[in-house]
Amino acid sequence: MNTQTCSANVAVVCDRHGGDAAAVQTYLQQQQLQAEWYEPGDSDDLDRAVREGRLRRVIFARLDHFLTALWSRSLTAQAWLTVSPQMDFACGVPAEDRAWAAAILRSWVRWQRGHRRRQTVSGLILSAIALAAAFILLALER
Amino acid sequence: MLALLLLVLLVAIMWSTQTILLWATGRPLRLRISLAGLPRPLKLLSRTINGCALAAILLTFPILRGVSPVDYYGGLFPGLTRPREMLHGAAAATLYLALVYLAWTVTDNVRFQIRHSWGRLIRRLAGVPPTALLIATFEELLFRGMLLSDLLRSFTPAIAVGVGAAAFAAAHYLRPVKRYWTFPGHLALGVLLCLSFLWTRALWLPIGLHAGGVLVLMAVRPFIRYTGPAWLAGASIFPYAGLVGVLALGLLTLNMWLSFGGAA
Repeated sequence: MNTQTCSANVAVVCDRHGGDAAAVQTYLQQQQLQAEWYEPGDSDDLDRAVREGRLRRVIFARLDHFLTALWSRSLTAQAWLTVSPQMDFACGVPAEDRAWAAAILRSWVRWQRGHRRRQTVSGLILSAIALAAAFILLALER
Repeated sequence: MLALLLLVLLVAIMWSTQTILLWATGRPLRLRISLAGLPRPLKLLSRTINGCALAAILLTFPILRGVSPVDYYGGLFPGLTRPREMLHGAAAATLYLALVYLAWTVTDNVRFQIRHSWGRLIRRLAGVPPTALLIATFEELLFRGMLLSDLLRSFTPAIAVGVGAAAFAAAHYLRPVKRYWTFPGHLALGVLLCLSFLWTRALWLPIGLHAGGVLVLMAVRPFIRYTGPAWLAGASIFPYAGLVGVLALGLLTLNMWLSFGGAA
């Protein structure tokens, strides 16, 4: 979590050194806001801040940052519904209603693909470790 | 009972060190043992003093019993073939934990993701094996080599194992921790380690089990995020503290009994 000059209750989710940072700064200037900055990977900290009621407004650089955190269950959906912080998306927001559904589906498909890959790799590594341990145990039993 | 008194003395030394450091730096004193709020060099100083106190207590115990430390602790690491018990313990702990994590991966109760840069990951992972061995060795010397051995002189094995496991579990909560529901998991782990010592009368097996467990837990930690309920799957470095983890510890204890206990 990077804390710049933070105003109470406002957070930005954006990579400070990424391509969206300038657009987010412009957005903040337009809205005359100062905010606490969170990296897209800091969703645990962000979620905690929302659950504790420390944030009333969250500005995501992109819709995909929010959706990825949601798919990976880094955000406690029920708590976000209860606290219902105002959510804005600084750039890459679909212009039409129809495009929202497509953007959500694209994000889901992309996340699922990555998730399956991670599950396969971790499953393979854990299986290899379990097999190696079982082999040692059986060898020692001789 | 001498070992229990020495353990209480160790806690008193830890608290006194903390109190002196807090007082010297003008901070409010507290009952709870916690280094929170102290500057980093003083935290390091406190840890060094506590480490020295632990070593001194480990050395003092056999001397007070009239045995040289080398003879006493040497007796807890017997034989030329017995070290394989350590490998047996480490492999068993690794197998159980890998299976638990595998089950949680398949059922989507944990998710693996790389949360740090590769440089930081490699640095962290490189430190895991020596840290695991060090933690396991010191804790086993203290809780099994000193405390349980001494309790077995005064009490029946059942009482000695109960008290030894409870002391081991309680010691993990001396400092403030994020979660307290993990206590039954620590207790079950304490019972496993105490029984392993009781059945083998040596530290090889408990150190192997302990080190194998710490090794897997610390190696997996930077990659894992728990998404399942904590009561079932555990949390953080405590997969053994969820319901399935405690059951797994029970099964592992049964396995150790079959290999080294009454059934052996």
